[in-house]
Amino acid sequence: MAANVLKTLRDLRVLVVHPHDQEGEILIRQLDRIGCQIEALWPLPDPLPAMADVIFITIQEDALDDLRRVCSDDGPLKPTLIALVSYEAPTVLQAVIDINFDAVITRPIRSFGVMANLVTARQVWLREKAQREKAHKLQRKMMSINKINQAKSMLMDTLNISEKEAYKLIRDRAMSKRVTTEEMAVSIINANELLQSLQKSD
Amino acid sequence: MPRHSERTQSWRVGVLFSQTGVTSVIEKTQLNGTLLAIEELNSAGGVLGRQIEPVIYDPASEPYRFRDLALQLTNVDKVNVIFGCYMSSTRKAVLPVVERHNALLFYPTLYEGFEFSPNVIYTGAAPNQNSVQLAHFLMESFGKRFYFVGSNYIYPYESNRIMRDLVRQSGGEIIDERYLPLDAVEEDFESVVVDIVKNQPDVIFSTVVGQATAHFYRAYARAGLNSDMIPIASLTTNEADIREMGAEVACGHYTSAPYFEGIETEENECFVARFRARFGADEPVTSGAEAAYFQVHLFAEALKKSGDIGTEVLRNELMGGEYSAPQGRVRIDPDNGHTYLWPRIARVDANGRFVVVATTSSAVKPDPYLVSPQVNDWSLRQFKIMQTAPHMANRSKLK
Repeated sequence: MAANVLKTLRDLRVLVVHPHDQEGEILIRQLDRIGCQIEALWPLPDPLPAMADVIFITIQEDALDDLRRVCSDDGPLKPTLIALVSYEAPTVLQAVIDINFDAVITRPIRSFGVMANLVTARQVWLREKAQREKAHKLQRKMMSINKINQAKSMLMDTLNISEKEAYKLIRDRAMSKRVTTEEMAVSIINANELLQSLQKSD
Repeated sequence: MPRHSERTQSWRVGVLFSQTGVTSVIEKTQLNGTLLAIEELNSAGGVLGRQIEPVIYDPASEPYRFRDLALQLTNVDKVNVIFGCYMSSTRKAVLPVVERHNALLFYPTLYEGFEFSPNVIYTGAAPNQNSVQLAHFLMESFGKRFYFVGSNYIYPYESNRIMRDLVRQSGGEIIDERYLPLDAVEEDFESVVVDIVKNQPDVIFSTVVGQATAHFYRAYARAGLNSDMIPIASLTTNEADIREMGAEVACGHYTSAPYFEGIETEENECFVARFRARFGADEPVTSGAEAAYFQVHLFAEALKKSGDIGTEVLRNELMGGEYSAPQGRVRIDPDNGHTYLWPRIARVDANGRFVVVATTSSAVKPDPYLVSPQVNDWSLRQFKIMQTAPHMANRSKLK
């Protein structure tokens, strides 16, 4: 994966949120040497543009709440975020942690270190993205297994059959109706709940 | 005018090239190139009527000596312009010093790229100005099975990473890579040569530098191998190394560089004639010497315009600065402080002279941050192979 990060640096769309001054110039010119596609913006856009792969953000100590709001973590995964900080004071670093920045560059900004931070930040971000996707997949899988287990025990109780037979029944039904076993399991659970509620109201 | 006043009126500059140690052979040629340019300028009346006064030290091929002497130059000699460095490890040692003192280092050596400092002017080749062309040439001429031999430090690792990438893109393979200490001697290379014989690669890519270069080529020749069987290709092996190892050992091997002693330009004929007149007819002129020479002239041109040796004003004038160097017209790229250069590949003839076999029709822009050069890089469109390998016809006999 590391090799891919290095080899795709020139495809990255990078947004630099920084005032138009000499330090911003140093950063932009270094990103240009690295070969990224660069756009510069100031002040902080709200919301963050969805098109960027990586965003370098100037941390303004007097506007940390605005930054927290703009970068709030609900919704889809944000782009790779790199903080540009003037202070290593805990107030600032706490905000860096809360906002879940992937890397931090300390001022004064120098050419050295931009590429190293960009590469590691991107790598961290890709790893997080992969982990999130994996977790999401596992969560879905667990829910599916739960539903099937629930439907199985209902069938076992109602029809007085073995677990194996219950599963085969669900799977065969699913195949003939051309739905997933999970969907069939949910239908069985729903039907069973309906029957039970009708029986109760009798 | 009193003498001491005359002295303060000079432009004092630092010069750091090793006259002893593992890379002294090449660095001495760089020192010569530097001195030749300074003497030319001084004999023509100096810059804006003031002489250039070099303060010269011998850092002995040791990074810590480079650092200490750079400190000496900036702190004690009060110099803010330094010409010097060969190995990357020595440049990295000087870098923090020039940055802290806001001095300017002129670095006349090819290197592995991935560096930019507002305090350095890079006048040697970046990988896109020598490796890409060499990979292309070698695969066109000899085949795609490569064997890597290098000295054990960052430049060979990174050069090999780039070469490996280029070879694999073309479906080629790297049979093995070996790294030896900078002070390796002939016997140290024997096992490498045995392995080469065993594996029969199409070509050897050598990133062995300094005095070990001659040892490697000699060990290769002593084992009965020659360039007709498997050629050695390098980015660093130069006229000084050939003189060390002898024409017979060097014959037929290849180097990719922007400059060779035998280039037929008017500027080069003058340059070589003056170089020999000053240092002796046998003194080798290398690509490092040429870069060391033209970078002093680039400095002088900028100084002429700025009238002030202060780093900021000088750098401003240097960016975009041009000079008709022996290799062709060169220009400092304002985007990255590196230099537009003229990639060439040359083969050593029986007399130990480089004969250019491939060249470009225009200078190539430096791209020091290119992670993945392409074998079909656009700059190759202007890169012409004029002479294919003379021994290609013999190769089938070996297989």
